[in-house]
Amino acid sequence: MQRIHQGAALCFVAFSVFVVWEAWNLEYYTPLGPGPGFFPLWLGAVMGGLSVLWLAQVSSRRGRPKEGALLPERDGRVRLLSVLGSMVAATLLMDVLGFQSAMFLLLLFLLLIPGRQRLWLTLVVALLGSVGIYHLFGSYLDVQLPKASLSLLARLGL
Amino acid sequence: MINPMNATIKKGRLPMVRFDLFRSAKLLSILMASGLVLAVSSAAFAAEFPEKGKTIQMLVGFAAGGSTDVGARLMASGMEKELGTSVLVVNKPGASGQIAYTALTQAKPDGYTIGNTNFPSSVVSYLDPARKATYARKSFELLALHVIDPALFAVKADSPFKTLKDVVDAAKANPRKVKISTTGIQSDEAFAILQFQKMTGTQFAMVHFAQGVASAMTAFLGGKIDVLCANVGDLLSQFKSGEVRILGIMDDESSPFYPGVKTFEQQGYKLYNSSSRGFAAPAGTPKAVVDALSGAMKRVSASEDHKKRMADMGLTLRYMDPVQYNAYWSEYEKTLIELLPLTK
Amino acid sequence: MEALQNLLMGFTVALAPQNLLFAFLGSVLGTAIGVLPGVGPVAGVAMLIPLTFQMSPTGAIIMLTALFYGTQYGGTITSILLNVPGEAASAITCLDGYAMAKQGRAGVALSIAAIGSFVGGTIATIALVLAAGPLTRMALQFGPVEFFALIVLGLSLLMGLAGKSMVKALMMGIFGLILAMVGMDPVRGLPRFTFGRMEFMDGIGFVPVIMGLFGLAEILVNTEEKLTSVSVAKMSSLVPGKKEIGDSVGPILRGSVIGTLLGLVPGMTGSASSFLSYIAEKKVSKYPDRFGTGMIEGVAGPETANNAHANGALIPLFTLGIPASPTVAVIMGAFMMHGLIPGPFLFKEHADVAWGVIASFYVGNVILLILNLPLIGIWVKILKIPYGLLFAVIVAFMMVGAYSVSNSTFDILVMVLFGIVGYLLRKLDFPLAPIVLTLILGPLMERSLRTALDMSQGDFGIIFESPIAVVLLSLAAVILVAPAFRFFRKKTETLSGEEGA
Repeated sequence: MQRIHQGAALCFVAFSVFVVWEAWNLEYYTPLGPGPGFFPLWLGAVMGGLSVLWLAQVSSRRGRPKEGALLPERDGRVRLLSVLGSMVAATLLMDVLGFQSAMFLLLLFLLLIPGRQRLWLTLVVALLGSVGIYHLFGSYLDVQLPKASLSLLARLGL
Repeated sequence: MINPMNATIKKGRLPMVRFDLFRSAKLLSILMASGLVLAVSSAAFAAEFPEKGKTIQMLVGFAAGGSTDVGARLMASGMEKELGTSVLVVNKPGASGQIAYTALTQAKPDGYTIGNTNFPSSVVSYLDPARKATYARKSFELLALHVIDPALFAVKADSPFKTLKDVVDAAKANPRKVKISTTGIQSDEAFAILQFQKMTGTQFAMVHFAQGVASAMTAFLGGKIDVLCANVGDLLSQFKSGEVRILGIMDDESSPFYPGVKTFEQQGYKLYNSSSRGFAAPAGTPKAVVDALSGAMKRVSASEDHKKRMADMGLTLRYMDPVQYNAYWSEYEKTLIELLPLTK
Repeated sequence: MEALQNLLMGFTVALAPQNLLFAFLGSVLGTAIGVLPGVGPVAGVAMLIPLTFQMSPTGAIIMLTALFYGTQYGGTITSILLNVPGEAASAITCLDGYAMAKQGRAGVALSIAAIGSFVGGTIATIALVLAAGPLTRMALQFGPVEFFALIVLGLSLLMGLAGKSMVKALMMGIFGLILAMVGMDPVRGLPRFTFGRMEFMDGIGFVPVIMGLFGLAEILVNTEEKLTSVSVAKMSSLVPGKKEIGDSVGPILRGSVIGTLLGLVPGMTGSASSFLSYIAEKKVSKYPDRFGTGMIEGVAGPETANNAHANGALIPLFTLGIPASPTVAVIMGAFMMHGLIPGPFLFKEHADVAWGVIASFYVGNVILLILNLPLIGIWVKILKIPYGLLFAVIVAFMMVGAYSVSNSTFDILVMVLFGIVGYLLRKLDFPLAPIVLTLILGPLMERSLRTALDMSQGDFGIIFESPIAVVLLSLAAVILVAPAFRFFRKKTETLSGEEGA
């Protein structure tokens, strides 16, 4: 556990270094006042300092984090990643398959697998959540959700 | 593929080109036939454009409810009646319109996606290398110019500045001390002020209010800014209540919204600057479709109902057809090419 | 009192049957739009404008304004029940509101939020009627310099948000400030930290980030267990008890004042108001450390503030003809589309419309209260839905909400990214509230400093020329330095204590 916290602290340090690096390439000061690089530089530096401080805290005996796993066990991990993965996939496919298809598939997956719902309920909710939302937002709220770019699906009105 | 010019390259020898007359005649006739078919079909295509029930999307690169959006929506609703199909405004705000322009220029050029083109944002976005635009002027097929919103200078009613000359004198006497507002480093006000500075040999303290003209107006009414640089559509309320004195409008004619206010030209400063809005389709859209769309826009702009609605919103309707718009664009582009380096 | 006479006249207009109906419709739609995450009041008002063409100007504007401040009522609901902010200004309510929901006190939170919203909106309207002129003049004193000082003060209050670990809170605050730097910089207008992506040119996008950090992170935490076993605590009564009502009085009054005053300042967002109310409550509370665990003050204050802000933001529209925010700009457009120009002379030329609309603000707030209170019983039932089903629906709504901010699927990916970030930060025990604060105030700070320095052409002295700014900045300095004093005082006390013993 302590290792993980230390690793996280190092990530923050790396992040701070990245910020300072990017800020270095920007103008620091202009004739009219602080330039684009001014605040990011100092913010990155302070962040770096704080991250090192935190690293020291978790490494010391007093600040040592309690034992126990940070990330969930295998089952939980699979569930977590599958939910995330399916969301990303659905988003990326949305412009290709159209919102309705992508969301239908996403809901189908989420409800059946991690959600462990019954099939009929899943189908109803998935339909409402995809086609229903599409028409609700499109007709009433003036929000055009993505249409399919694959001509086959587009012709079906998806 | 038939290749009338059969170049055979033999090792070590110069290529021998055999020009086959018969084959090239065949090719030529096929080309002509297909050309004819295309012409006929595009005419037939155009006769069908827009297909009943197919929605035309109008991309607007600014937030819903803003002056660009309102003008676009008024045009869209007018076009619906002219074309007999629904025209849907889709807001894709961000990056000063660049996101919408990118989407427009990458859309299928079939006439079902059109978009709004703003000056200066559309031109600046491809002229400024830092913006890394994926399009250029030729990516747009212009349909119509709709609104020209001339820029103006205004001061508070109790300000010591009574004329433009007073402002110029003050600026000359106190370089970089007379505070004047803009809505951004590359906004139309900024370009107008840069031109004015060049013309009069003065230097102002330009204060940029990137959140919009409302913030600028608040600072101005609070006495924090000496001169407000804004557009005609912005000051209707304040002019009516008598809180502001409009010193001059950068147009070639007076504005119907502000009777009695002179233009810059009338006061000796030949300056014309504005924020304008027009419409375009992606380059490559068939001419017949372009004609249908621009024709519809022309008719909408001429209708009394549309004119009244635009006047209510304080939008100065100034229609230009594609030819005129292209000329206007070229002129504007030239001016910006000169002024853009000054904003850096 | 002339104002009261006019107001009474306004009531006769506002209470006319068709105007009542419009107020009702606007309120219902506003609440619905507020509930839907991502779809905000701007889109809602804008989409209704064409529909209002056929209506009388008074009716149209009554409906649109009811929709506008109605969204502040709806946005609370998902924040409390699902930890998904329905709307930017309701993000802060997630902190204590959701905690209360987890303890089974969702009904209480929703009730207090509704009541607070009503009080906030009404007080702001009273301010409009009685003190519009002086308030506006006061607001005009806030130029870029004063605005900057105010924001710095707000940021300094970050120190007050630190819970157990000062270091972690500061890190999160700075993280938020760095995120706020993404986009076109206010100095040169050049892209900064955008990785070449156009979508980042205007910044990372507050709504997708917040939805990810709060809503999605919550779902991800829950996926660690079997979803079918995630349950909510048993619901205690829907009606707040005497103690809770008593505890809420102060926050509601303070929130009303904060929201109304900040609503007058163009550039101040509703989320800034509600957040500053949260921090104010934390500062005056006897138990600041309990904030985040379900303190009713953490819901009462912010919810009141964001409604007071919405109604307060309408004041400059009437007194100056200036829209204080993009949403109010849309309402201004609605006025103009019907041939009316908002401003002080509207009261002379179209007194019936002006006062009718103002009276409708009271009426609308009453309608919203009556509408929302009974619905709480229904909303709370949402929590009874099995999580295995509910979570998928939440995911769908969040994705649509994130998309609808700018009609872009990219924003959905941003939300997912920050969902992961939020999840990891929670696991590492980092407080999320500081990020929200600095993400809201960060862009405002840099921009206003830039504008102030434009005015003085680089001379920092301009800040010291403004008495308001000097006062605000001194306050900020005191707040920042005070913890250090306390720390040293404790050290010296223990030292002298040891010596004496």
